[in-house]
Amino acid sequence: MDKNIFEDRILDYLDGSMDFKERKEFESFLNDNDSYKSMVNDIKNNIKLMKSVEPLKVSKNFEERLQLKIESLSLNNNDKKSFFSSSARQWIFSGLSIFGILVLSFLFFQPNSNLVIADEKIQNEQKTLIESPSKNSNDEQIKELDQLDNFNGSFVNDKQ
Amino acid sequence: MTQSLLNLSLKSSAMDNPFKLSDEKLIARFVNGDINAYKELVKRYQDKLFNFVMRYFNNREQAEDVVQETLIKLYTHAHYYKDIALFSTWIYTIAKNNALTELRKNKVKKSNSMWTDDGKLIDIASNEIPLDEKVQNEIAVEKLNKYLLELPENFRMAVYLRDFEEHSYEEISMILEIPIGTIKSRINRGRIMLAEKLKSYKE
Repeated sequence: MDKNIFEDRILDYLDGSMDFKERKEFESFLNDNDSYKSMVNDIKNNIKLMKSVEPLKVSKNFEERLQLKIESLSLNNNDKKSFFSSSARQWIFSGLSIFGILVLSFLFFQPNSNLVIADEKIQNEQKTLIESPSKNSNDEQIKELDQLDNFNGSFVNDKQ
Repeated sequence: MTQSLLNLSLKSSAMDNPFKLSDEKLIARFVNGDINAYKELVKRYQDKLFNFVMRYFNNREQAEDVVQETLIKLYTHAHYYKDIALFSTWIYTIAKNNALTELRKNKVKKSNSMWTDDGKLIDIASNEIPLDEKVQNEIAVEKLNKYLLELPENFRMAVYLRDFEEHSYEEISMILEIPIGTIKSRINRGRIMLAEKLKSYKE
């Protein structure tokens, strides 16, 4: 068995995931190669040793420090909330300001629009004034026609 | 997660039958506002994560800071946890990412020191006093830790998660975000490297 192949198979051997034939083949190889056998035994012992290691513990004040950090985080979040609410207030204030400016500008331009209406009124009056003579002339024409009729009538009457 | 922690006392955690609840149930309860569930998760994981992160730093203070950062993320981002993975996998992945970020921020100098039982760093290279079996075992553990630290990070973390923490290959694959085949190969290679280092030490 090649060294690389051997090394690749150590994990399967230690995990017990080899089938019976593979396992026998691997073990017979180990029995024939002391250095490899010793390596596998060292690995086994190291794994056992690692499993026996007492885990380290965090410092006694670990939880206290964590609590303080979380508290300060909560306070910061509250600050953020108040910041956001004040910025919301700022937005509302800005919106109202813009609205106010618009209203004011509308009021400011209102007289101009009145002037426009006034202008229109004047123009209409002027139109009436311009058109009125023609109306008068019509009346005059009607009057003339009436007079002509009367005249003709008198002429007929005279004939009779 | 609006519940205030101003009155949080992690030390006085009093979950109702906390041992009956799985990590996944605890985080679900925490997401729903049960602060005691958070306390219980902190209790369950603070030491585990500390041991895990110590394999990145070999520096108590830095490791504790990273664990605290991880547990704070658990507090602020618990709602990001999806029930498709084990909680342990999720929290270890956060711890790993925090540790790697911290490592990138400041490169930790490799140390020749190692841990004592209470986590203090000592150098026992010149320790030649006669040793009884128990002490020899302690020295062996310290040497093991020392040589484990000397392994390249990829091999070290895979071996640690498998042989110290006894995670499954699938879990390790998810925590380290590496395919299972690569994980197995790294564990195998890491174990061999460790055995060779310890053998040369014994000789």
